[in-house]
Amino acid sequence: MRADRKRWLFAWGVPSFIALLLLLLFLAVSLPYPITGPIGSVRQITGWQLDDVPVSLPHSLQRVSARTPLTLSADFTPESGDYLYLKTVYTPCEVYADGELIFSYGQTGSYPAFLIDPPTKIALLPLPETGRKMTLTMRLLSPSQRNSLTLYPVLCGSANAIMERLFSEMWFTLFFSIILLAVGAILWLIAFALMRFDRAGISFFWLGLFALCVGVWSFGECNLSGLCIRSPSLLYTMAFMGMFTMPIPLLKFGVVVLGLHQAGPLQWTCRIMEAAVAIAILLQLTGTAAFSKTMYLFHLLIPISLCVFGGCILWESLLYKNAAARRFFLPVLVLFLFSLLEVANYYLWRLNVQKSFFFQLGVLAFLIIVSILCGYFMKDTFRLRVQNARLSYEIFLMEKQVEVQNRRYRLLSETSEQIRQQRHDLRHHIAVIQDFLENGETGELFSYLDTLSEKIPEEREQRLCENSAVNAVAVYYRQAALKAGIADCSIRLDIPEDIGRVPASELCVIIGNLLENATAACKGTEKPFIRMCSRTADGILTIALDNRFSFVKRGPDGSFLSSKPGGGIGLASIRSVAEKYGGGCRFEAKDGVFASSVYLRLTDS
Amino acid sequence: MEALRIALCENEQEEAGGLLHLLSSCGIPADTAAFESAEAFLEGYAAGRFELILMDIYLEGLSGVEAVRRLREKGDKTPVAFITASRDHALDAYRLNVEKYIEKPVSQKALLETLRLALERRESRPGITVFSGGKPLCIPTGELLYIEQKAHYLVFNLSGQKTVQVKGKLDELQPQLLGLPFYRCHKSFTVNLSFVTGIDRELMAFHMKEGALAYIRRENLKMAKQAWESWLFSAARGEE
Repeated sequence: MRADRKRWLFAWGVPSFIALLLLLLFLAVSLPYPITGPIGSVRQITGWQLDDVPVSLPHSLQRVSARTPLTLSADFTPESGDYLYLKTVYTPCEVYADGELIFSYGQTGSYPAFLIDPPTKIALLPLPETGRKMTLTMRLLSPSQRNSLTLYPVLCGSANAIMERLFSEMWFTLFFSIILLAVGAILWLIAFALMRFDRAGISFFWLGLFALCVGVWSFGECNLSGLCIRSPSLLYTMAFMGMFTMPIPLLKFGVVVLGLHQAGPLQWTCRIMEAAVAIAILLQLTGTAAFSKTMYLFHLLIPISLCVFGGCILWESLLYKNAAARRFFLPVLVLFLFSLLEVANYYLWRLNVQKSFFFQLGVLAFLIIVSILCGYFMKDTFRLRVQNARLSYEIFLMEKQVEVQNRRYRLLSETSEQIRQQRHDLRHHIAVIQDFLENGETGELFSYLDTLSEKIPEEREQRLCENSAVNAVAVYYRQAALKAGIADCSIRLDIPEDIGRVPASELCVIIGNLLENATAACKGTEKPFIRMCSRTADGILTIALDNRFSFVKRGPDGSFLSSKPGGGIGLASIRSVAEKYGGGCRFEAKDGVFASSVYLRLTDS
Repeated sequence: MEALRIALCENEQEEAGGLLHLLSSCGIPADTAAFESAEAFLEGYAAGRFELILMDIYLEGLSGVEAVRRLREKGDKTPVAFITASRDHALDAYRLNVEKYIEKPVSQKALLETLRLALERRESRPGITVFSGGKPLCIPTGELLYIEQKAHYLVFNLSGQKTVQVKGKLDELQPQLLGLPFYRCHKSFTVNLSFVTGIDRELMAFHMKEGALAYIRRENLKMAKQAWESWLFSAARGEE
């Protein structure tokens, strides 16, 4: 056990530790460095006039028909080196400073036409002239995809001051989205590594995809990324696609991991979500309806699908006492509680935290708990797989034992028939011999005796071991080895009929696996041989097998892998049986000879 | 000369008496233990307790052949002589590496040959020589379970709960043990791997035959296990 843990540590633990360190390093260097020197303050421009009506920002306009021109203007006095910070949402915008155009965004032809409205834009604009009062005018066109419009506050200050203000407000969202993207990538790596051994590794794939979706969503949504990445269309797509697709991997994960009795609801929800995403993309691509419009549908669909997910888990864990569902109840509850916190904060408390802070915390907690649970899930499935493989192998060996046993009985009955025949013949032979003797025909007597001795039936039964079950398995594999052209196959097993606490079927798994591996390894070698022997002393049974081999496959940790399809289950079975009965095994390859050694305790000590 | 330790297994009182008489008249000092059945013999048996086993084949209960087979299974190589009126078991004797096949009635000549053979075996058995009060003393490694250092003394624990104590150090003994299945598992313990029956991780000790414990240094635990397993594996391959 201890050796296994050590091997695991070197194969997985150390690389993932290094990956974690690297991640930390990258995060540390990507953090904003505190800016030295006077930063100055950030001022919000006030005294806005919307088409000559005074307003204060943020300001929401309802029931605005599509493409309504709006003019927003204010007077202010910028200081030297001041920048403007502004945000437009699906709204084409032109900014004039004292009648001079300083910024134009979202005019037709400046973004893909199928997006209908220009995507959200975050802009940091240098001001041409400072130190005197100026009039700032913004000419806007209301969006065509919704009938409401929000006018966001416009900030003024030095570039550094604005950046610092934004960072202090939104660092968590950006940080969180980067962490989620990294978590998703790591989970994918784990998934691809595990899927080489077991299909169940796909669970990590879906979990990783979920993390990636949420990460992409929050990255696209974050105002800071809008300043870093100068492609509003890309961020727009990231934000909506991340959000729309987020429930799908979660539902798929549920279907794979939970082993539901009624997977129908989850699968149907999943299909509906997939269809909805496909339709939303088609509508956007054809320029019929923008994501910003179809979003309202998803605001309904996503909570419903999460409720179905939670409901399925609750239903399964209560009704069917599904162990996996019970396990996953906790993380889903955590996600749900954090979502509740988020809603409560939005409508009731209005704490001074970034929007979606609680939901993001919930997602992070959910991912951590689920990843741990997934680890257990993988361990369970692998153990079950080894167990199943061993059980089916035991059944296979039992069939072979019955076959060999039947052949023995047939031989025995044939032999006893022959003996009866010979007893009958004996009187006849004696009479003939007496006859030859009486007549002094010594020559004829000798030749007659020669023919007699030829007729003595040979022992036809193969006996390789006293233990009949082991013998049957050994006989079966010896014949297979001979058939495979391994003439030098000696099996001498000193195993008594009474093998104490070890069931014969499990011992046969060891013997059978060893011989099967040896026969497979001998194939295609120059002088193939198999030598198997054993020793029973002090309640310890030791089995040793040496065979010729041409090549061996080694695992990443130096252990031997079976070259057969289904890799390594045989050796794992041998090890697990040996360790179950207080023993162990060793496999060594040297000078073209593969030496397998196994020991186990027949008695409790 | 040290008396030859002999086991006599014979269920007929008269024959046993005759044999004992014959043994005493051979002129070779003998210390004979008589058993009436194979079961009684196996119960009182410990590796190295006897230097010669005289075994009747037809016994009540377990047969002599079976009793010897069980001894040989345990890896015991003590010389055995079958005593029987029938020649039917010559093949068994051959298979079990039995040294002599004495036919009844037993002649003094046959018995004397057998005793000489046992003495020769005693001379040639592998052993280590230690000095006790200036006199050389041979300790047969085939009976030596483990050696323990106790202060300035070496305690040789032999099978049958026997111990021999002489002044000395384990380090000085090491050259004599080369090539033999001995393993130094602790500052004050060297074990004969062929007498190990198991390893105890909690007690950090080898379980030895006859219930003794030989302690293992914590750092050596893994290596000690490997050494013992290596011995088991080579024994199974018939290399020991």
